[in-house]
Amino acid sequence: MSDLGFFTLSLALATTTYSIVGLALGIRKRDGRLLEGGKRAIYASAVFLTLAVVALIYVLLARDFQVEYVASHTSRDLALPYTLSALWAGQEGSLLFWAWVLSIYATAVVLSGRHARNSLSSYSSLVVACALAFFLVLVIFVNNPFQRLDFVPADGLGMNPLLQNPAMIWHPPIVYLGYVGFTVPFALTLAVLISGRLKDPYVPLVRRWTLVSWLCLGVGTVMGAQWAYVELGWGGYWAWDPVENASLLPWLTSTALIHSLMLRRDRGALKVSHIVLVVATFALCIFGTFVTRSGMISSVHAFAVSRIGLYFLAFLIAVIVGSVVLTFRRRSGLKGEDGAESLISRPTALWVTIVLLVAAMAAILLGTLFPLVSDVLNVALTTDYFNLSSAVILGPLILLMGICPFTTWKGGDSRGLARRLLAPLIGALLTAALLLFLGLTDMFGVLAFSVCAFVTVGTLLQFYGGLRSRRASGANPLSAFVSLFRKQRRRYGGFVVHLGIVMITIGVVGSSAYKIEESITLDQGAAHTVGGYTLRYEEFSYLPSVGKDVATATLVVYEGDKQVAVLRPEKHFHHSSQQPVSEVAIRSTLKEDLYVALTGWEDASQRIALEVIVSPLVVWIWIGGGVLLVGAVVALWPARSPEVVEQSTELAMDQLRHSEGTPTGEEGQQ
Amino acid sequence: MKRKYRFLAGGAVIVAVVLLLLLTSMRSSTVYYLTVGELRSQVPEIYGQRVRVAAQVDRDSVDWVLGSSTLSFDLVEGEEVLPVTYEGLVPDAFAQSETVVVEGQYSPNGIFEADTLVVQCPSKYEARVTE
Repeated sequence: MSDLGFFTLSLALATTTYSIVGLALGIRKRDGRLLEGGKRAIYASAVFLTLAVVALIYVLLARDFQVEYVASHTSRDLALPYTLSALWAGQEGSLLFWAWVLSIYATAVVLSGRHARNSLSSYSSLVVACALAFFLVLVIFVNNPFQRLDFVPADGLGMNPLLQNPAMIWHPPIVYLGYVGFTVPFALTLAVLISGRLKDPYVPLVRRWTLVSWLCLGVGTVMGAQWAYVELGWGGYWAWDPVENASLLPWLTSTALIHSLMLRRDRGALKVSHIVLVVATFALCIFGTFVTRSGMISSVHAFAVSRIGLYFLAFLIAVIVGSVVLTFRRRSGLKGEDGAESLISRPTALWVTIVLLVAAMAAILLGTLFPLVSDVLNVALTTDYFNLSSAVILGPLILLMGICPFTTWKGGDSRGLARRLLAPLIGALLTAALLLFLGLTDMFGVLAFSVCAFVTVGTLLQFYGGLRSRRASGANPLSAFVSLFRKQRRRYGGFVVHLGIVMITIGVVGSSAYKIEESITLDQGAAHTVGGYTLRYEEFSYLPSVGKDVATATLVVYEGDKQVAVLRPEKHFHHSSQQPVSEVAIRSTLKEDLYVALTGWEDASQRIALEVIVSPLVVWIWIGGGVLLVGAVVALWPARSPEVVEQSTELAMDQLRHSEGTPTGEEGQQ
Repeated sequence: MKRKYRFLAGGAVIVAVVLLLLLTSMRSSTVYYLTVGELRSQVPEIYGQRVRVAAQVDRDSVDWVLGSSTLSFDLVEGEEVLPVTYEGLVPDAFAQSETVVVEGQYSPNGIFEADTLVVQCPSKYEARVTE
């Protein structure tokens, strides 16, 4: 089966190479049949890669330990879901998975190009095929997941116990969907540049692809944070580790990209700012992979250090140099940026948003790369640097989120803006007063929560305004609410995303500024109070389980006199690994989390040591992630409303106008 | 022309913000990053300064006292040995780690008092399958 897997990979490389040659020649010779062949070859690549993934899943499930990848990442006692997730547990499998996802995206690019709307599909398919070929070369020649050992081990090494968490099943593939997805906006952008169709509507072309990838990356990152929170036992969820930064950096630039796509005149033609942000996002995705896989910067995630980093570096350089050269060649034909007619207006607000997001990215990138010079300077950066710089840059950005929706495109109406901002401002002041009244003395917290209140009130007012104007035309409240989302999906979906971001901010501020942390030791029957919770230690057990020994402490938790929970923090000792794994116990409420980790015990006295953390509002980070998902899905939902139909007819008209004298004549095939 | 100025202004804002950040927050959040040998050679000026040290852990020296939740171990770098005490949560991966990064202060009694312990786990993936 492993031979078959490798064989299908080779076939995939062959068909991908064929499609590159076919598309390149077809474009040059304007030969429709060559183009069609090239596109069909991409379908074939997707089919062969799917077979290769099936083959790898088969050898994993069959526990064919002669395959090195299987022996390195699974063992006989590994549960079925984790055996399946071993597909992306190691580098070889991850790369195969990456290539497979990319081939699916490539198929989608070709398919979406079959509608007359997108006449660029030959060019974009060519770019995606080149990226696919790169990954196939890596999978086949550098990191072959089907590599066989010259002996058959009795059992595999097993999966790192830290990876054995339900998040392992969802988090990596979702992040990959995001990373890989940005290949498509990148390919479409290059397609516009190569073909020279700079006047075509660019924004509708890339918006959906960008949103999907952005969504996957964002949700995947929040899921990763939650995984760290429940699994690593230190009560935190974000450590500014290079691997975490690697997913945050492209997320920041793609957020900037989404906002730059809203600035659209000239029917949303391609602008230099779009190119910069698309290329930056794609390059940062590759950069993240390079950083973590090359061992250039050490990370707690500790992927195997390998020469694969060099390939990614070469790819990264090719991407950047290629994009710069292409942009430079087309510089005269590119539309100028959308400026603002007056200082206080929507375009200005969007531009400031973009600048702040890019600045945040630059600051975090600098901090991430700083270890490269640490050895020379004998100086290192602490996480304070990241906390401080992101608070300073992202704080004003969140404030702006509350102001921007009230600005007008034309601007110049400062008085009106001030009047419209009155209600959010009152909301912020009331929140500040309430917090001070409740005894919050920390100015950072009061300020941050007030800003959050400002944005929340402002965003809810947008919904209220939309509802009121719909009710005025006679709709009942419910149908008015539904039609809000049906008629202006992107606008109101975007506001829902903003609310999600506010929730995440509230969670981050609450859990970082007001965290209570205490290390305690308890004798059996004794109790201790931390942050309003009294923990009484009832019993301790140390029992063998499947593949591991489990130490459990049972604690009864009281809030005042009332028993509110029984918590059982555990420590697992897997037989296949010397590393213990903490299974923390968490009592989660909307107000705060009580987080208890068992850190040690004495066998004789059964005395235990605990780490107790009270982390306010942390659950809002996960809720905010969910709200963000909902908002983005609303914005993405395929529309059938008059507004959008109108837009697509406009697009079709554009297409018609441009199709005269088209270089490839592809539309003729439709 | 006007548009060009707008871009220059935008670019200047980015550069200014980033530079300002570099200067202010980097100054307040840097620590010395030294090897054990360098740490020793900078006595006594280094006492009381925040320092980060990365070195190998001597597995036989690891001791954890339940009552005080204090972890003590020796960092080894060639001939140099640096005794470390650490109070706080011990990462699970410490049990398997070879290299750790500690941050804290070097005290005149010769002990490095750490308040941050970062573990660089030897990846499971790096293990070779053997017969």
